[in-house]
Amino acid sequence: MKNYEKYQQLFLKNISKRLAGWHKQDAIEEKDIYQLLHTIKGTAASIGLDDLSNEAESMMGSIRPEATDPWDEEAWSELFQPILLNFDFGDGDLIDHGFSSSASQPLQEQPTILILEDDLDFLHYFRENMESYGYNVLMATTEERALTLFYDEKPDLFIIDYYLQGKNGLHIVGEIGTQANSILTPIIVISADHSKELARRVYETTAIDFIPKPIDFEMMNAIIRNRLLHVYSLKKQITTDKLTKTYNRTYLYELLDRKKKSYKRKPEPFCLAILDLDDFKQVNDTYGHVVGDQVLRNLSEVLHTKTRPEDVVVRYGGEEFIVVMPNIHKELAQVRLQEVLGHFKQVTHASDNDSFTLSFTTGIAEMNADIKKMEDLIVQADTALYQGKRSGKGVVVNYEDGLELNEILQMEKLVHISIVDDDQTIREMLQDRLSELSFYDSNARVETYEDGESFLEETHTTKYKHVVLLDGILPGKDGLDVLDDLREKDQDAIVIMLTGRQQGDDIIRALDLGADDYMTKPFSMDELVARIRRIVRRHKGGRKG
Amino acid sequence: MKRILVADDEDVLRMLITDTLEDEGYELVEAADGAEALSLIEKQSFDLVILDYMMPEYTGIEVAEQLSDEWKQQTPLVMLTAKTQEDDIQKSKDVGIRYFMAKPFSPIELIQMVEEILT
Repeated sequence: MKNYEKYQQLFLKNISKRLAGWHKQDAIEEKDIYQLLHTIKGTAASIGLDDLSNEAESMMGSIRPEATDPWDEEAWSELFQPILLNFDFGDGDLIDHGFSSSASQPLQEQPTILILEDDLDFLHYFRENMESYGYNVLMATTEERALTLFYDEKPDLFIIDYYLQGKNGLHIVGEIGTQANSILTPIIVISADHSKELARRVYETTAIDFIPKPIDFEMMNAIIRNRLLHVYSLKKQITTDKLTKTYNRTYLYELLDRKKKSYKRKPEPFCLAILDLDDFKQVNDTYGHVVGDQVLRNLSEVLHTKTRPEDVVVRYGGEEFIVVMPNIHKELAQVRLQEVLGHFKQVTHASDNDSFTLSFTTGIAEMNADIKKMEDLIVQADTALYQGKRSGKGVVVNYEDGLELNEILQMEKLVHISIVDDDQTIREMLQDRLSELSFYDSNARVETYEDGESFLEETHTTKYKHVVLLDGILPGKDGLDVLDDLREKDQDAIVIMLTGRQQGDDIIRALDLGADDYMTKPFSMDELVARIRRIVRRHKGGRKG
Repeated sequence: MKRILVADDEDVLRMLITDTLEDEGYELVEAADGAEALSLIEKQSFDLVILDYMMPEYTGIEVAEQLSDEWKQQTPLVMLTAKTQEDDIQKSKDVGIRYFMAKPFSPIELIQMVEEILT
């Protein structure tokens, strides 16, 4: 059975992105809804989200695949209401599941032992001895009390006396045995009865040891230590990422659960940072997965050696790591992680016949009283991470209040380039070259027009940065007239005029009419690309105005 | 190592297919839309091509239409379709597609189908 968690999370995130995109539009078309539902139906069931797939399928009944009727936000969000519950990142099943399944007890310096024993004298004698070996002892004289302590305090080990007020202690082993097994709590049965028959019956349960009374405490301590070390090494395997030897998500959720509880008791500051390797996909594509894996190990080593000893490093997924940093505010955390980044950028990664260096981008969020669920802290750090990626990678960004992920996703949208030129060769040459340009991880979208009329007819959505390369001399409507008309309906498009050398007057008129820049023909492609990049950067934060 | 191209605009499903088949020892190449798939097919050779029916730029059908009969003789095409879409399957057959995988599918089903085709 494949583990679908990463696909599920990514899929839900993708749907959220799509809906966030709709949210920015006045209305969407019915066929857009159909397409999204179609995607959800097909994909969800393939990655173990059958309920979501069924829900999407039943919603599709009333939606027409080709219809262009407008749906406003009120309408589509009402339609999506039933499944919106399913992919709210904060309340999602996935994260909740992650948190609740990690019921295991944290590894502690001082292990806690629960003992169920109705002989009070023995109980006190036992506690005295075990405490002298450094254990924390919880005592119960009744089954009810023992169960309460077992579930609430989650002891590391449970000792049960076989004879309890005439009842036999194996009964309780049966009751909690499976639960204890699943959270790796060893159960030891003690008894004044040494019979082989009793020993056999004990070992037929999930109890791990049978120890006769009177208890030899030196031996008891050795046995307990042995069992606990075994459990710890199992737990470590379960919570360790095999590739990078960092902790994995299982441990992260357990750790954050503890962090949340301790913050409630005593609000000491701590930060959560998400790190994402820059351009890792290219590394894998260029050098292969073996080199990619080595890069991940290199990063893991830098994170271990260059963070503070109390910082916890977790591999969160693919090339994403989380560092949980206790007793630190985000301003200082940022400085520390910038230092770590500095170290990492100097690491040389080697392939068979090449070597290269890399960077990572980091988003940091600091715990505060308003954060009710730890997933929210992760989302905040993730939001800052997105912002960092958008602003050019290789940076450490702190989450700022009020920053919405949706807004950032919106800003990182595509750059559109329109080429208006009557010369077919120039159009094709420009299109080929500019289609390869990428801004903030997405490729530019390039459209060509052979005259001003066809360009002006096209409505361009205002969501994207729109760069227009406009030839000065065009058949029919002249380039300057096109510019004039364009400016009447669109102040925001970035216009670069393409003119001949001898057309100085036209350049001045073009700038007067609101062109942002100009290039004289013949021009070098590289120079044009550089200008487009510069001008797009200058207009950052979406559209001007 | 057998090379497989998977073209699907839904990146989660594409990832699932890639991961599943890579675990089986195939080499996977990904395309996020029909146009990308076509340009990859032009430049590289594949032992198998998996196309999603509904894709931006070119749909799975449009991609298949643009491929020569000779190419289709040599390289098996698998179309990913929705279970209920009978006419999708007919349209696919018309453009020379012989294999179909109905969504949703399990990784095992996918592996079995690919193995059957490639052996």
